[in-house]
Amino acid sequence: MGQFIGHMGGFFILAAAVMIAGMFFWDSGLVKDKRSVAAAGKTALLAAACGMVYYFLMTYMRNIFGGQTNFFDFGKIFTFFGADKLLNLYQTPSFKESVSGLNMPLFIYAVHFIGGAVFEQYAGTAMFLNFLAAAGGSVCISQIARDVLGDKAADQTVFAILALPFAFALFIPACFGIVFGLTACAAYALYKKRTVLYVILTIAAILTSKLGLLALLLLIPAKVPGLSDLARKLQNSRFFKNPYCCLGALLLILTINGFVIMLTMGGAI
Amino acid sequence: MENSAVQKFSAERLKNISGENKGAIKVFFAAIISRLVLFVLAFAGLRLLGNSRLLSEIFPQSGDVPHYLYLAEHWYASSGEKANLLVFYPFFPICIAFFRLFFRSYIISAIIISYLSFGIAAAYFYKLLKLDYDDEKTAYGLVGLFAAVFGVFFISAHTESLFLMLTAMALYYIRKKNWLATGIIGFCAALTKTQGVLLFLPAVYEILVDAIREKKFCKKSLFTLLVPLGFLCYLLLNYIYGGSFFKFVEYEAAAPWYNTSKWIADGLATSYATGISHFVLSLFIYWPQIIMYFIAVAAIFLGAKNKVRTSYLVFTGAYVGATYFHGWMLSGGRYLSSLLTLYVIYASIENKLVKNIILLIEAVLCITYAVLWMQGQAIM
Repeated sequence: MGQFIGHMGGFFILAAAVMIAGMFFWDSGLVKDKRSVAAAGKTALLAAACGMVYYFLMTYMRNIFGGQTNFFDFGKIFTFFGADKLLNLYQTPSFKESVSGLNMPLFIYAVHFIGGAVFEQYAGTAMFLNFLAAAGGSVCISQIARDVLGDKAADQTVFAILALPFAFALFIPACFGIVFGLTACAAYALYKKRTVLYVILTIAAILTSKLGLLALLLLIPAKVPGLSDLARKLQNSRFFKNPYCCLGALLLILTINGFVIMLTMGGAI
Repeated sequence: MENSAVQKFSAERLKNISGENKGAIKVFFAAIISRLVLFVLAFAGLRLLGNSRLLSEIFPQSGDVPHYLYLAEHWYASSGEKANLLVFYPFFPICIAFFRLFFRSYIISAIIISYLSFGIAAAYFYKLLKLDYDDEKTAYGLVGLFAAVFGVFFISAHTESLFLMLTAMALYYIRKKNWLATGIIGFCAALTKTQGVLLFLPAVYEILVDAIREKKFCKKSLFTLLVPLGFLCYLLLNYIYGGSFFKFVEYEAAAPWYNTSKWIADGLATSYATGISHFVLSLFIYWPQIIMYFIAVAAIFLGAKNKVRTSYLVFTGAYVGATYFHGWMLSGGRYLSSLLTLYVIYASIENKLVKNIILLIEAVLCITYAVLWMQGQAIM
């Protein structure tokens, strides 16, 4: 419980710092479109809140299945997907191990240096950076969806992504959230025709994890005409117009997600 | 025609200014009366509980007071058992030594400084609130300050009142863009408490925002560099008396303070663990400081929602963060009680019922902790 309170305290003050940094751009007039900033803030908050819900669920499930940890001890839930090994790697990084599996060295070394600077809080740093990246990535995706499909679709798109099975992995102190964030930012850069930025973000994503190669796939919709028309058609289809169908689909996704969390925390996956 | 309009405007402005000053003077006296009332209530409570401690036992011997009085009388020492008093900042002892020239007693001088500083703090806080809020919200902000949970430290010989005054003045002059006054006051604040140097941040925030908006840098704003200079002077004192610029860090880590800088999460976890194992102490020290931490952080978000000036939120965040960067903290509640911007955020709340409930809780805790402090309990 003490650890939980401590981490929550650290997390909220950092979240406040991020918010204040954002408010600087607002106050100084560097950001002019206040409406889209407010929408982006809402999306970021939704993503962060979603991450918190996942943490509670994961800890609860872990407690039910293994009894290995008390309800509020977040630290001990990272014993799946080799996340515990990753936590050791942040503390004492080795280049050889940092390129094994899906890992690549950029994020591991970044956490090593930043975590070392903030009183050796490696797991906390990795977790916070993932939250930040997941929130940032969600904002980028919602901006694209807002431009292409409208305000309502923007929120739905983000919610659908965050409700997907395994979406909890975006918030754990591994590299998934960072890759998602960098890839989503790369997509936004490409959408805004900032090619150089896209290249930089893609390289950063690849250096973070081998999953970052997926950022190259973003070039496909950019090169294939009519994909946004297809998305619009899908949105206007009968299925998505029917609230019962939408609710059913959402419940199905959430149920599958719940099972995934249950099985992962139970050690079956 | 135009001339008469200008004259009318000037006369109205003058009237407003003099009205504001009259209000500030009233607030000054109200603040001092509020401290006297708190003192009387706490003392009456002490006697009702059957405690016969004398005032001469209560005031000079509580917490860090003997250290401040010692410094006012003897100043820092390079060696010996008092060498570790280097952890205390010099401005409060200097003020005590100065007032002692008139009042002949170190402890009375220190208490008079506390009362006067609190009065001036309230007057400047009133002026600060009037810049953004109507009369009602201003009044709520002031009453919120008067009922501060650990408000007892504003009547004792601690640095809290002095620091509160310097904060209120600095924030007011930052808003008025009087950079020289900000620099001088910030310099004094940086020599009063560790958190004093943080007044540099709201100043920098306002300067940067103005510079970007108006695409012009005001050279006078460089006076604000006096604020970090105050902290550098304190480091110099460390060098002179301790032989190292960061000698205070060494002393703080040793007995009796055992304070080391640690990430907030570790400090809060330690507070919780110690609170669980020490029930009585937890009521005075650990639960209040944990709860007040979360209230302060929540207040930052609430302040953003209520459109409280961002520079105040910058100060709040930096102050809370810096205060809780402790491995083993005992005075979190006291430090947060003297965070002035929290009362601005409180004033900004629209819902009167919520405001009144907060005020009631604050007032009850304020009197309770004041009585307990007079009893000699571990209210630090």
